[in-house]
Amino acid sequence: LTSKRGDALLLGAATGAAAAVVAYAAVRGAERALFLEPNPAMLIGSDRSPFAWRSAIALYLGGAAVFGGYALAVRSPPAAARAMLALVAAAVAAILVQGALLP
Amino acid sequence: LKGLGAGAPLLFIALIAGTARAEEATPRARAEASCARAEAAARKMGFDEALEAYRAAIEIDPSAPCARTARARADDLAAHAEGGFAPLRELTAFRRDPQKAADRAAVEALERDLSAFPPGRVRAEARLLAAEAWARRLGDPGRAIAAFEATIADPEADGMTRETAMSELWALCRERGEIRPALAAVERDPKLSPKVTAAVHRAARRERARLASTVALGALAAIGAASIARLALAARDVRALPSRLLRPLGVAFALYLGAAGAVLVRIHGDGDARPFLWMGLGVLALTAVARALPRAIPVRSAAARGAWAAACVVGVVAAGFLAVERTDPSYLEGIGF
Repeated sequence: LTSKRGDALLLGAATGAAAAVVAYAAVRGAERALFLEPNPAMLIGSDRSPFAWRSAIALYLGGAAVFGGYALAVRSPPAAARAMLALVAAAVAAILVQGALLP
Repeated sequence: LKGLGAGAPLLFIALIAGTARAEEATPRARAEASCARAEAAARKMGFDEALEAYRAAIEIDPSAPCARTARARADDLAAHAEGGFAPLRELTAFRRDPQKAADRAAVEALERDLSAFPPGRVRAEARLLAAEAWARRLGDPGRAIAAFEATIADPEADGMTRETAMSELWALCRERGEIRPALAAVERDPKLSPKVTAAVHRAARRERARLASTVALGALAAIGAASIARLALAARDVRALPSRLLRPLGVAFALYLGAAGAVLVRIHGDGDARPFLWMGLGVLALTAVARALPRAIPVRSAAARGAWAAACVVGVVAAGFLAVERTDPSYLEGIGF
């Protein structure tokens, strides 16, 4: 890998990681806001962990964002770096808001 | 002792006779007998006699075990008493013969007769029965829909009959993929069956979204085809065209969307992976279309480029919607479609 390609890949991966956090907050928020959850006292057992499933969906969406981050980084590394910063800030805000309001 | 020995059999007979008379005279026994008489009369379609016997049983002993059933049956018969029970007799005869529902002439005769029935529950129930026969046994959905609609609109029908007619109408419309009659019915009376109303509105939204998605993808496909044709005409070597339209990153992205999504569904265990595979293919096609137009007609304006990008995003959403809607619409239920 050339240095430029390697940098772009790193930026793409970082974008994906930040996007996965935003996606997790969005998925959990949507779940809490739109769908009724079973009463834990009534739930006898579940064959899959809802947390692990949400995380898998968030990773899938984050994985899709890797392509966008990489494409932007190849075209314009400074723009990708700026977008990265904004996305990290958005991820922190989203996970804090979700954790506080829709845990 | 001798005298007592001779009187014992007489005393025994007198005791038995006394007990029997006492039992005959018990209000409970009379109520039970009246209930049995009512049941027998109802079996023979003597509904007026049955109603009288049920009422008599309740009056004789309101706390008798059969009194509760008698009360319910008497109320039911009284509610179906229009026309001196003649319509109910005809409806019951139709119900008791399972062959009649499969006999076109018998159903037509019932429909002809019910138009002369006095307003009331029997008329609505008979119409519902005819509608079900047209829908399920005789395969004539047009007549079934008309009969279901008439049942729903009948002001004398009871709520349960109208609700059943609404559910059946919706089931028939869903089977035929034609929601307009059901939509018109729920819009006339949205509170009749809130569950059916919600389902019909969801289906209507889904139909509108399907139409919009098809139009959007059709327009993009036409633009893409025209652009590719123009590029092919202008190209020195047509073989170079695919590499101009499909970049490795775009192909990788489409593959990721389809394959990783399918893997995710497989891990989940009970889902359908096809929507993700169609989504991946759709995105791949849209990637080619997105690159084709700016290469066929170079545009410098940022607004035009932005508009084209927005159109492509709409195309991706449309492809995603159709991929799910055409393969496993149950995924859409959670988001209001």
